[in-house]
Amino acid sequence: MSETTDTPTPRKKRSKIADVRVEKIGLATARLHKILKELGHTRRLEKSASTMPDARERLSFIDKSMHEASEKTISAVETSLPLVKKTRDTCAKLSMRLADGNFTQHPKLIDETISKLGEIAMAEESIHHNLMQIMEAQEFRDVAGQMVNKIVDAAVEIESILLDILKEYAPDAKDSLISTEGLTSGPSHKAKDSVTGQDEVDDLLASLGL
Amino acid sequence: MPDPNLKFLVVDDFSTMRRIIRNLLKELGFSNITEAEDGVDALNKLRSEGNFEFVVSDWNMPNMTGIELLRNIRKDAALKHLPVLMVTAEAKRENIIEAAQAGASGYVVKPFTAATLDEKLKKIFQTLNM
Repeated sequence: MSETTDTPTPRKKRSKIADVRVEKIGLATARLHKILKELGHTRRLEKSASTMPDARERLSFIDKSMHEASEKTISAVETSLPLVKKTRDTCAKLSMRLADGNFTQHPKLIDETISKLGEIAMAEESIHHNLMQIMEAQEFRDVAGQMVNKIVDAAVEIESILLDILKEYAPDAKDSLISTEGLTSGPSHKAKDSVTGQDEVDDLLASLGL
Repeated sequence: MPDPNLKFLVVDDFSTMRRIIRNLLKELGFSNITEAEDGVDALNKLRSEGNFEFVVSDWNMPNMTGIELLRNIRKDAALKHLPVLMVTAEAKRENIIEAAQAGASGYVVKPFTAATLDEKLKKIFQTLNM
C-alpha cells in the first residue's frame, strides 16, 4: 500500500541490518567450526545425537505405559460399575420388601436391616461417583500422550540438526539413527492465546452468539 | 429429554478417549454409540450408515482433523443438520472462534467431566428442540 517507488523504505535498512547479522552468523559459524575441529568436539556432538534415539525410546515407553495403565483402569471401572448398580438396586428392592412385609417377630431387627440396606445403597452411590471420577481422570492419557509425542518430535528434530552439523564437520561420522515415525502432533503446551478453562470457552462462544 | 436411543458418533484418534466418552455418554443415559478413529473414518460412517443423530469429535487427528470433518459435514446436504460437539484439547481462542464459524454446535475443552458434557449436550438439545 505505502510501497511507493523511490522513497527510501525501511525495508532497505532492514536488509542492511540483516546483512550484518548474516555476516555475524557466518563468522560465528566459522569460529565454531574451528573450535569443533581443534577440540575434537565432533565426538561430543556425535554422542549428543546418539542419545536422542534413546530419549525417544524412553518417551515412547512412557506413552505405552500410560496407555496400558489407563486402559486397565477403565476396564476395571467398566466391570465394577454394573456390580455397584446391581448391589444398589438389590438393597432398594430388599428394603422395600422388608418394609412391606408383615413381620411379627424381631421388629427391631427388621428396622435395623432396612436402615443398613439404606446405608449400603448410599455407599454404593458414592462408589459409583468415585468410579466415574476415576474414569474421567483417565483423560490425562490423551493430553499427556499428545505432549509426549510433541517431545518425541522435538527429539527427532534435534537429532537431525545435530547429525546435519556432524555430517558437515565430521563427514565420517555415523550416518543416521533418525526415524521420523509419524506421531500425531498434539496441542502446544498452553500457548499465549489459550483459554484457561471451560468457563472461558463458554464466554468466548457466547460472545460469538453460540 | 431426547431419545436414549439417539445415535451418537464419537470421533477421536485415541482409543482411550473414545472409551471414556462412550462411558460418560452411557452414564448420561445414551448407549447407542459408534466410534470412528479420525475424520475420514467418521465421514465414511456418517455417509454409509446414514442415520446418525449426533457427532462428538476431537480436533487434532491424523488424515482428517475434527474441524475439517465439521466443514465437510456442513457442506454435505444429507449431513449438515447434524449437531456436532467439539471435544478437544485445543484451547486457543482462534481454535474456538474457528470452530464456531465453521458451525460447531458446542465446544468442550479437555480435560472435562461428565457434568460438563451433560450440560453442553442439554444446551444443544434445547437449542435444537430434540
